Order: sequence, then structure tokens, then C-alpha cells
Amino acid sequence: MTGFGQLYPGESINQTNLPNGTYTGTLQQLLGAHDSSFDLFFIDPTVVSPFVEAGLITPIVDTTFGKRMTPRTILPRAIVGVTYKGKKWAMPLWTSTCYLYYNNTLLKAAGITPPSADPKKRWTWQQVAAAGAQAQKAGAQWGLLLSQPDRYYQIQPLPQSLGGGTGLTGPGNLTVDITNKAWLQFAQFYQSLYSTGLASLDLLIGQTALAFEAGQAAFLVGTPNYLMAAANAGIDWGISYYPVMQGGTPMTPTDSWGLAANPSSPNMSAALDAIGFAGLSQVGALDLVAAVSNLPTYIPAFTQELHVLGATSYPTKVAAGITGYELARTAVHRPQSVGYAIFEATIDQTLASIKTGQNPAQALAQAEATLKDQFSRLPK
Amino acid sequence: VRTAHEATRPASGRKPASRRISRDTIAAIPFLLPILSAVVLFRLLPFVTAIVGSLRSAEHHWVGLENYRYLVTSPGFTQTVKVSLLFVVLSLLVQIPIALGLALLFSQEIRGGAAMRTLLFVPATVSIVSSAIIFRYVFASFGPANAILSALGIQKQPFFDSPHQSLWMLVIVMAWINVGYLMIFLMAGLRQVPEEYYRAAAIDGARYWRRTRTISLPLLRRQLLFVTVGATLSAFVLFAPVQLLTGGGPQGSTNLIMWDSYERAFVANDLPAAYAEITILTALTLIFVVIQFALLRGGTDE
Repeated sequence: MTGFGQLYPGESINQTNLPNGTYTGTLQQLLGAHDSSFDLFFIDPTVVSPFVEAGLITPIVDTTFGKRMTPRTILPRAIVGVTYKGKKWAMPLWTSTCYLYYNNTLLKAAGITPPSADPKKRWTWQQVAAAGAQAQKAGAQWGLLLSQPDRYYQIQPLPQSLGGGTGLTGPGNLTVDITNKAWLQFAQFYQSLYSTGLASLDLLIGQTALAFEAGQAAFLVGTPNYLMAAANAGIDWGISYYPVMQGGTPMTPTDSWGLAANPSSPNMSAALDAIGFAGLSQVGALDLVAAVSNLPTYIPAFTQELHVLGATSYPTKVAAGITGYELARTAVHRPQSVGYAIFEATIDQTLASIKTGQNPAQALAQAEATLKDQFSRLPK
Repeated sequence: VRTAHEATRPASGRKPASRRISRDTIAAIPFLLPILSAVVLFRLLPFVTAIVGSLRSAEHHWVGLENYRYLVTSPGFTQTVKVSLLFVVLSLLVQIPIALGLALLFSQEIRGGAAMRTLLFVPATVSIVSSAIIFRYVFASFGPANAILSALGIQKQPFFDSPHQSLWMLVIVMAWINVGYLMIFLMAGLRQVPEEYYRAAAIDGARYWRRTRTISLPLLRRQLLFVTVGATLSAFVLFAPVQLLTGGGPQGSTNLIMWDSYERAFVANDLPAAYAEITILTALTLIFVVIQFALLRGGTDE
């Protein structure tokens, strides 16, 4: 955030990175030990409630920018993500959604009419899978890829839209429920994507989108940060709505990182300035978008980004429209829980096992037993 | 593990205990201090921390053996221990005979021996992370290994993606990394065997295999013990390839104890259970090493 130093002479922000897998745990330890060596930290909305319960963060509602954080300045969905017990605890910086990217050339070769840009005609996952298989017969290497294979974020709406819940229920979201009919139905579908060869077992996160950009995949379910790359990839592509499970209600993934202040920071005033700059100024929000090409939550910056998308190409213009629609109507938050980090890690591993052939019912039962056991150790 | 000087230290030159030795000892202390403090700081202290931590709750209350009770009744822990022991045994069964065979082979005068020896040692100089990444690509479903199988008309194999093959794949990766390294120690041991023994045996009519069985192998016990213990330790504490290649899966088939304890500590944020698991790991390793000492000790030096 270079603009911060220009606005506040003498101040600067230095960033330290921690490995993704251990980020939340390390943060918990540092905050719990009142470590004062850092002023700000990125926070995933899923850990807001556990951090509040553990007394690790302080609300920002009373600060100047806390008061400016209204549904007129920040996307309402994003505010919900960082709100707990009626208070706002962090500044949401980015938001996200998912689209169905498709390759026109590959669909045309297979005689498939591409999915429409009308939300009422949203394709089902089953429809996408069938079209993907047809495209493969006509020469596409992959039928349907996920930009985040084996990640809870991207598949949460599937079981949930079938009535199976997020996987966590009860007070504090501390009860694991992933062995119900809807979850099993989802797991069987997930396995079929790989057992039929529609999706690749080898391509990892980051690589699936590259395969789409290289014109190898008929469909890609992906986040907005691939829009510009797709627009510049030199392929004939289009975009539509994130699919819905047959018989389910449309739901889409959302949320992204927020920024919070360390209560033990010796530079609290500067820290709060930085949060305000990043979350509630056009310069700051666009600085962040330049660094990480996600959608900003600050409404003027969000509108400008959609405008940029609209002016870039026809598909990105469609994407801009889809984004507004999904965030307003279909976005579902991931569950907030003290056990979320364990839950997510276990679900991700379970998806990988299901993908490589483990019996879905058995995999879900095993995961549920492991999670129940690990949840029994969580601080009460 | 990397204490080459111990393995290759000549067995001769022992002196009876005397005042001179204690003076030597005093003189040695300043030189030993850096390594001794490193041992205390990076080995003993963490171990003591683990033991103490394993007897306390997350809130630092004494809970006795509660964390151990939780661990052994936890679903999946038995599987983790079984998989870890199987991995150690398989690693030893693969690595030691190959390293020994190569050491015997390259102790002979063979054409291009030095070049081949160097090539075999190269994997030991490559970082374990790079090796793991290379293997991920070689054995990917579109990788060169499957391309060769396809060219030979053999069905493609899932390798790391199969619960039946992934542990074996880790054994192969570790053998590739370790074998050349272990071979060097065994070769050094073979070099120390006095040439006269072989000549005398040859005069008595002993052929190559007989000389190897009755001279080389018995006199190599010390080095064999060293490489066996070294390979055992590295197998028990294996972490990076698991993280990079399998993430403990598929279906827990490579959920080795070191990886499992890492997951408990840093993903589940359950440090007490992770401490208990590390303590159990240390105990298991010690049992293995003690058995190896008992089997391979005796008559090593003369």
C-alpha cells in the first residue's frame, strides 16, 4: 500500500507472510501471547467469532471508520461476514464470488449452446458435467475443472443447496454434520467428476485455471481473479452463473480476507489509520486490488472495478453483472466456528480422498468421526 | 545423523584412562561448547518441553496422562502408528541392502566407478523439497513414468494418488535420496578393512562371496549400525515429502506420525496432543535404535 505513506508521511506498512496452512494457528498463538511485534493482521471471516470468544480482537465499531462502515460504503454482505454479536470486528477488504467460465470454441466443436447470461436459466452441475463430457468427445482435454480443487470454499454451496447444511451446526457451529443425504449426494457427484475423467487428478490449485486459459478445458468454475487472465489469454471464452445442484436452491461462495488491529499494538492509532485507508478510501482499496486482483468491498472502488471489467471485454462485462446479482441474492458465508480451521483442513483432505477413489460414504463418516474427536478438544 | 566422523573414526589409538585425558578433556571443552549448546538448545530443550507439554492441558493445567489417553483412543492414531512403523521397516529393507550392494560394487576396481559413485551421491546434495517436487512430476498421471508405462503397453498407474501405492512411492523417494549417502559410509568402512585379510583368505582359496561374507560384512558392523540407525531416524521423522506429495493421504495411507503431530499442533491447534505424539514418536524411535544396537553390537572393532 504505497499510497498510505503518501497520505500519512513517516508511516509505512511492512508485510510478513506466514504459510497458509498454519496462518490461523500462529496468529492465535501470537495474539494470545499479547505479542506486540505487529500492528495489523489479515483475518478470515470464519475465525471472527472464535477470536472474539477468545478475547483476541477488539471491536472497531467505535472508531471513526467503524462508524463509517455502513452498507452505503461497504458491500452489505461483507459487513455481515465480520459482524458478530451485533458488533463489527474487522474491516472487510475483498469479496469474492464464483462464475462458470466456458470455452466457446470447444463448446461449438461439440455442438453445445453455451449457458445463458440469464440467472433464471442457471445451469445445473449435472448439465455442466454432461456438456463437459460431450466437449471431451469432440476434442477438449478436460470437461470441467475447478479453480480450487479439493477446497471447501468452492464446493460449500453444493451440499448446502440440497439442504445438507454447511457441515457445521448447533450453538457456536460446534456440531459436525457431514454424513446426511445431501452431503453424500454431493460427495458422489464430486467423485464422478474425477472417475469419469471430466476433471484432472493432477492439476493443482492455480494450474486448473492455466489449463482453461490454454484452451484445454470446456468449463472452469472459478473466482473473479482469473477474469483478466482469461481476457488476455487469446481464447474465445464466455461466462455464466455458478451452477446449482439439480433440485437445489442457487447458492454461491463468497467472502475473502479482512483487516484487523492487534489489541497489543503499540501503534494503535497508526494501525487504525491504515485500516481506514485500506478499507474506506478509493486509493487504498485500489492499491489492494492492484496487489491481489480480488474485488474490493469499498463500494466506490467495487463500482469502479466492475466498470473496468465492463469496459475490458464482453465476458468480463457479463461477469460484472453476475457479481452484483450473486452478492446480493445467492452468496452464502462459510460457517463461523472456533473449529473452522480444523473443519476446513479435514474437509479438504476428505475431498482429495474421495477424488482418488475412496468410498464417499466411508470417507465422510471417517471425517465426521475425526472432527468430532478433535472438536472435543476445543477450548470451551 | 550427519556425524560422519563417528562412523569413520579409526578404532585404534585407545589409551588407558589417565590424568592426561582429563587435561585433554578440559582443553576440549571450549571447542565443544558451541555444539554442546546447540544440542541442549535444539535437541534436549525441545524434548523436555514436549514431555512437560504432554502432561499439561492447553490452559497449562497438569492433566497427567490425559493427553496420551486421548491420543491412543483417538480414531486414526493406531493407523498412524501402523503406517509409520511399516514405512520405517520398508525403508530399511530397501535402503540398507541397496546401499550395501552398491558399496561392495564400487569398492571393486570397475571402469567408470568414480563417475557412477558421484552420480549416486548427487541426490544427497539436492534439497529434499526439490527432490519431492521432481518426483511429483515424474509420477503424475501425465508424467514421464506413466508415459513409459503407456509406451510399454502397461496401464497407467495412480502412484501418489493410490492408497495402495503412495506409501511405497514415499519409500522409493527416500531410497533415491538416501542410498548414495549411506553408500559412502559403507564404502569408507570397507576401505578400513586391512588388505592382508583378503590376501590371506585368497591364499586359503576363499572366493569373492566367501570373503565378503566372512571378512567384509563382520568388519562392517560398526558402519552398518551407523547407517541403519541413521536411516531409521530419518524415516521416523520424515515430513517434507509427506507435506509436498501426499498430505498424509490418500485415505490416511501416508499419515506418518511426524505429519500427524504437525497437523495436530498447527492445524487443529492442539499442542498438548502434538507434544504427547512427539513423545511417543521419540519412545518408538529409541526402542528401534536400542534393538538395532543389540543386534549389531559386539565384536565390532577387532
